Amino acid sequence: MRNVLLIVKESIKQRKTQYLLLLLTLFLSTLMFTLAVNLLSVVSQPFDENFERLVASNLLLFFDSEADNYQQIADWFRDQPEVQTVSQPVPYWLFNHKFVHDEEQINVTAYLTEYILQPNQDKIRVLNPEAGDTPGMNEVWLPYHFSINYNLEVGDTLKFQFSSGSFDFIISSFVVDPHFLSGLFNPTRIFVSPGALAVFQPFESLNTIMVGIRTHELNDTASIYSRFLSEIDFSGSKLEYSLFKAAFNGIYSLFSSAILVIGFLVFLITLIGLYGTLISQVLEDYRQIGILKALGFTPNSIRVIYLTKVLVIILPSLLLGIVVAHYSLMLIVDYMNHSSRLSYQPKNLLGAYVISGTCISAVTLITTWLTTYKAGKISPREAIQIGISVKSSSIKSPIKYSSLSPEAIMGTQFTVGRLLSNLILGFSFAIFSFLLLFIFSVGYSLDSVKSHKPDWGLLDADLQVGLNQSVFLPLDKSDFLNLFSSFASQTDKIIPFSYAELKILTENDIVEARGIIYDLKLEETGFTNLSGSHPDDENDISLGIGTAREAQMSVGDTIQILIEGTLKSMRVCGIYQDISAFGQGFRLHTQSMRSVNPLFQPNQFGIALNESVHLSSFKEELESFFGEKVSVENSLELRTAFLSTIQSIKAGTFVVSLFFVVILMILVSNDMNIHVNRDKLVITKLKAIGFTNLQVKYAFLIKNTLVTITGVLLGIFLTVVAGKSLISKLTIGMGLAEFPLEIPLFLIVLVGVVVMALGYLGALNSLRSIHSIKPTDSKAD
Amino acid sequence: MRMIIFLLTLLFIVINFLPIRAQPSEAIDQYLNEVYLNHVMPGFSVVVTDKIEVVFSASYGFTEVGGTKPFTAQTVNPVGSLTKSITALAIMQLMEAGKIHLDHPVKHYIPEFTTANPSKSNRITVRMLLNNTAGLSGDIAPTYDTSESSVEHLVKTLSNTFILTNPGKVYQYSNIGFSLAGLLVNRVSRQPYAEYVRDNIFAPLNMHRSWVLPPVNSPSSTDHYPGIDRVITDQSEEIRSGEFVAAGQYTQSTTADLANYLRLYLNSGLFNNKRVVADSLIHQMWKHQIDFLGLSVGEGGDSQRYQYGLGWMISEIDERKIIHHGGSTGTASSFTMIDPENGLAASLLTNVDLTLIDRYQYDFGLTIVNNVLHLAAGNSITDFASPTEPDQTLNQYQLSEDRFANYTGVYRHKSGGDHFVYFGNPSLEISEVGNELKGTVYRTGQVINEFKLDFVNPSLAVTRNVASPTYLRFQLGRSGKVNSVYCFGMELSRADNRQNLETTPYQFESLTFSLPSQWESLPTQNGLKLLNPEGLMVEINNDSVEGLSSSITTTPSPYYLNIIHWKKRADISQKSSSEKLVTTFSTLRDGQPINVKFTSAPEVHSYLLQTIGKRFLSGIVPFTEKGSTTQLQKESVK
Repeated sequence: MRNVLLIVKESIKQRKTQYLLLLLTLFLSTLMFTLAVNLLSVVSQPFDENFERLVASNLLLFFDSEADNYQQIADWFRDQPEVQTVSQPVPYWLFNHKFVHDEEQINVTAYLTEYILQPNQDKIRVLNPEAGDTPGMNEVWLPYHFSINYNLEVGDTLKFQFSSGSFDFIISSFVVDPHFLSGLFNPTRIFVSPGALAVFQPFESLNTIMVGIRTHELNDTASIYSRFLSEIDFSGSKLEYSLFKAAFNGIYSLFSSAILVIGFLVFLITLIGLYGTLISQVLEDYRQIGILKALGFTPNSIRVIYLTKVLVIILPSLLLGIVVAHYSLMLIVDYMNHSSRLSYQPKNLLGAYVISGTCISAVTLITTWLTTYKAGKISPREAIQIGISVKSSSIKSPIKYSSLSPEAIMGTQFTVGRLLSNLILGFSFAIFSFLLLFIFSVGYSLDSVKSHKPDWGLLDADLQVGLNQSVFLPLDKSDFLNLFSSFASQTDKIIPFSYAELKILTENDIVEARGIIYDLKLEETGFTNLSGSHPDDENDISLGIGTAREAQMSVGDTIQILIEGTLKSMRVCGIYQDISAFGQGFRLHTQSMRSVNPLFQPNQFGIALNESVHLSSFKEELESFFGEKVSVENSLELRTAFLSTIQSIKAGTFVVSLFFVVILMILVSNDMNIHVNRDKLVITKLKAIGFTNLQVKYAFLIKNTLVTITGVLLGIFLTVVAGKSLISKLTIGMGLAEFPLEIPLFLIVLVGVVVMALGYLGALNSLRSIHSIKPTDSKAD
Repeated sequence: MRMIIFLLTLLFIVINFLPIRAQPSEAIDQYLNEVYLNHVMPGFSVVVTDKIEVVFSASYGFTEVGGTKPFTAQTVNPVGSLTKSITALAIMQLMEAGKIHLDHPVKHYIPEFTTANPSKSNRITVRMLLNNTAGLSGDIAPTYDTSESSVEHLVKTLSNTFILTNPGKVYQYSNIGFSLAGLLVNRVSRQPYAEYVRDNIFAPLNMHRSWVLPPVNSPSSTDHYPGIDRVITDQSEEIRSGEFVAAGQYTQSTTADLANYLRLYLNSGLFNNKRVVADSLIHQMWKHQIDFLGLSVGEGGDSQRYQYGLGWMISEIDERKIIHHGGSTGTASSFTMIDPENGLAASLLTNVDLTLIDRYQYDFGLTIVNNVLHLAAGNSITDFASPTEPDQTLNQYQLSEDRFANYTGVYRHKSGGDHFVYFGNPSLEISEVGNELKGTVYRTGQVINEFKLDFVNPSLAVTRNVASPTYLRFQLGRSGKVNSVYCFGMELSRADNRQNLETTPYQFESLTFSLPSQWESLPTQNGLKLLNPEGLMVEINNDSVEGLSSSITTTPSPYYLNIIHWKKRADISQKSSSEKLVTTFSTLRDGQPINVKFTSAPEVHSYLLQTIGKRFLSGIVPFTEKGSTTQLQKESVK
């Protein structure tokens, strides 16, 4: 054993660069894989831990105290065995006016809620230690994400505009609200002092109450709510645990899943790299192995030498990888904690680290054991006499490529002659190209939402014009369109529509949905469906994927809806995606609405401008022309909170792509080393017949080019074919079942150039060793 | 000589062969008689003047529906937004005196004027207030204050509003802007707006029966609300909040006085050879400042854009340049047109709001006055402003009678509404009459609107009465029963969902209220203390509440006698060991403050107010011999 260790020590000393590179790749793959596995196991915990710690109700009921009786509702729930506690009534007011801060309007819909201290449930975490138990009069507590998304600070004044006037509120604290933890939740919840609504809310509209129900099992709300509806004539609405959680976890789950996929691919590449390195070493050690075997080393003990070498690399890289993964995980958890101001601390990570470490070690060692099989089979006589594997140097005769230059012929020979290893290298290039192109394309697609809105379920419009109904002689659709015709030359498209609400009646539930009625053939909107077709008949309805899932509906199903007070049976003709509503909603054609409301007229118009038209000037022109008869707003793209999260993810993926760059260079460098060593005999021969070092280098670079191009093309092909499905699987929870992935040509070219350049850089570094190979090196000569 | 004889003979022949036409006055009278017979206006007066004298003046009907007092040229009637031209004229006078400049920022004259986005409001000029481009629109809660100080209050309220448009760029009709212009008159002239107008406009023009704020017991016509096939007398004759009406909306005048006012314009600022304002400034008032959409062809217009000058609109109507302004208060209206080319002007005053009138059934103010001017100029009448498209709200749907019960009941105001409707906490009662549903809107005990419900589907109905159709949108529960209804820009929720309580009538000072039988009542030194078993303490007394009592107008309008206008304030009280929240509702009765104080722990305060306090407060009615409290008493037991 001592001998083995001495050999290992010497070998590592001799090839310290190679081992350092291998150590680095193993470290990176350990880091990525461990991080991904742990992140995935951890990601759902902060929400749950916070939810539990703050004893949050898993069912929130919202109702009008004049329509529903709190006492009756509370008594009914308290009588149910599944129910743990029922909260006191919490007055709230759905605030859909504007907040003003520093002359800027903040357009947020919020439940303005009195913070009533509940004895056993529904706590919130108050982040300002100087704040009292509840907000004071004229104070407001905001969800922490407001401070990030709108740059608000404690002490700032917010003007709340009500129809009854405006009030100034001082932000006295930001809070962690277990229910509305995500900035993506709309409406969100804002807290004011107990009794505050009695002060500034118009007395007449002081009606609405929120009640929290906490059951023993968090997910146990569907059956109890269904029973509640069947026994109590409830006219309010509800929100439940699964929705709160999905809103918070959606983005992080997407991120973790992406890291896991990437981690897996990186590990695969590392194994390929390890395989290459080991093969390279076996070739380099050919003579030494022969001697060792002659000295009595068995094939297994030869393999043990390599196993030990790898183990020596694995141990620090694993350790380092796990430590860095741990700190990276902590950084991500810190980010989650910071962005939502949670105090989550992951526990029992050791087991997960041991498992991921063991897995990586085991797979690495098994790969080593299998890869070094050849080393055990080396014939001592041949190895000692020749020093190089004859088989390994059997490059075919170049004669048949006589029309090519000598370098090209040799480059081709290097490629074809080492087909398997080149295929593996090409595959690595393919994976790298895929990952880089995939990451860049996702980022590009997110950046180009504006130019492909319908693909995201967003209205293909730059402006949205609403007809103001509260003016003398308001405009109707035909008036508006007639008048708007004078702007026709500046516009590309006009989409008349209206918002509408309906209730989908299922066996156990009533699913409330807010959707859009389109007054034109939906084909003209540019929207597409995930399945089925657009509504074409008064009995057709297409559902957002989230709503379809909630109502458990698919294309072709018959659905009972309550719209305009009329029960209507409709056919689900299509399922679509819509990021702005997280997959919730429905689409109807005007004729469906007209069948229940013959007076229906669209009152909103999405307007797409010609490219040359300046948006703000056109908006001013419209406002000036129509005056008070219309309201003109920029069209909705994506919510601030969503965009800010996407930016974070893009930053994260950029860092990940930098990892790839490093790994790619290591991989290519290793590969070149292998080939130079494997083909030492050939190089010797080539030099002997007059090839210069430069010509040999060219030959290798030609081989490298062929492999890289093949890999890049394969990577691009993979991205084009599989990229969309991969990202879509990750974004389905956000209402995007088909992520509109765009892979523009310039990104393909960019990735191709980057991967090629990195390949050349890695190759050139390794090809310096060609200079040290002399024509007389081979005894065979 | 022969030639002269020939021409005279020819002239004689031509004159004799011309068609016989009625004198303009006769034609106008004939036309207006027809209008009166086919209209729902209880009474109205029309005046036509040229540069020198009144060329036509006639009045029709009575000052009140079913009344006997004739509507005359001396009948005082609100002119509504014609007040805007008066305010603009006042500003012109101050400009002529070098005290004000149209293009100076308003902030220069009213330093405290600001909005939530001062970078925009600082750019608002005097001109923008007068041409409706300041962007000062939106909902502002009304007060019941009709004093001059109400406009000061408006300035404070505006500091919290947010301007959305670029000042000077977009036409947005704004009473608020003109109210602010009224405050400008006050600040610059150092005279209350009403006094300035009286001394500098009404007095020089001999408009002795014109005023901004009416004197007590002023001899004005009675206003009317829309009803089914009729109009309904406005019993309260209330004046709405001063901050909206003073300089923008609420001048009262007579057609006789308005004739003088119009002659001032026809004579380019001269009245009885005395200059009231420079002619160049009159022309400036009529100069195009901003344009906006006019009446479409379907609405009876010609789709030409209208222009707004300073307090006046300028339009091409029937191929004449017409300067005009309408005015409405919800219960009365005016319409005024000046035809500078023909040197004629006309004005109509009536005791219903013709802006709200159903134009498919009745003539619109613009149509009437336009035709009067046509006839005065010797032309034929036209259908200008009479809609040419059919009423788009007509439909065939019939709600089955077995569903009527889902809709019938009383609905209380919950939120929203403009200052016409919101004022005074309205309620809606839907009742079954024959085989139809009828809606009646009550405010402060009197009917302010009644209509038949023409259903479009179970959740949507159209109002059918003498006013333009409007929509009622019902929120239905799963059983089909209505929980709330959206109409007239407000939401009303069903009152009969509430549990009935057994009550005992109580009286305190000039108020009566219904005391639930479970409540304990204890007399105090100056009132009554009521203890609710759920922890709400209600005190009724006539203490003076610091900061609240003083905010109630100290000169209560006689029109408020049957109405309780509560001022609300909430305070934290530390009287007992634990913190309490006190919401005080105060009013003035016979010069004495009366307070209803709700005290409870803060954490239950809003809930108890919304479930118990609201019912209790709405059950309090003025103790009065006059009645008109029936409806509220009916609700109070719910």
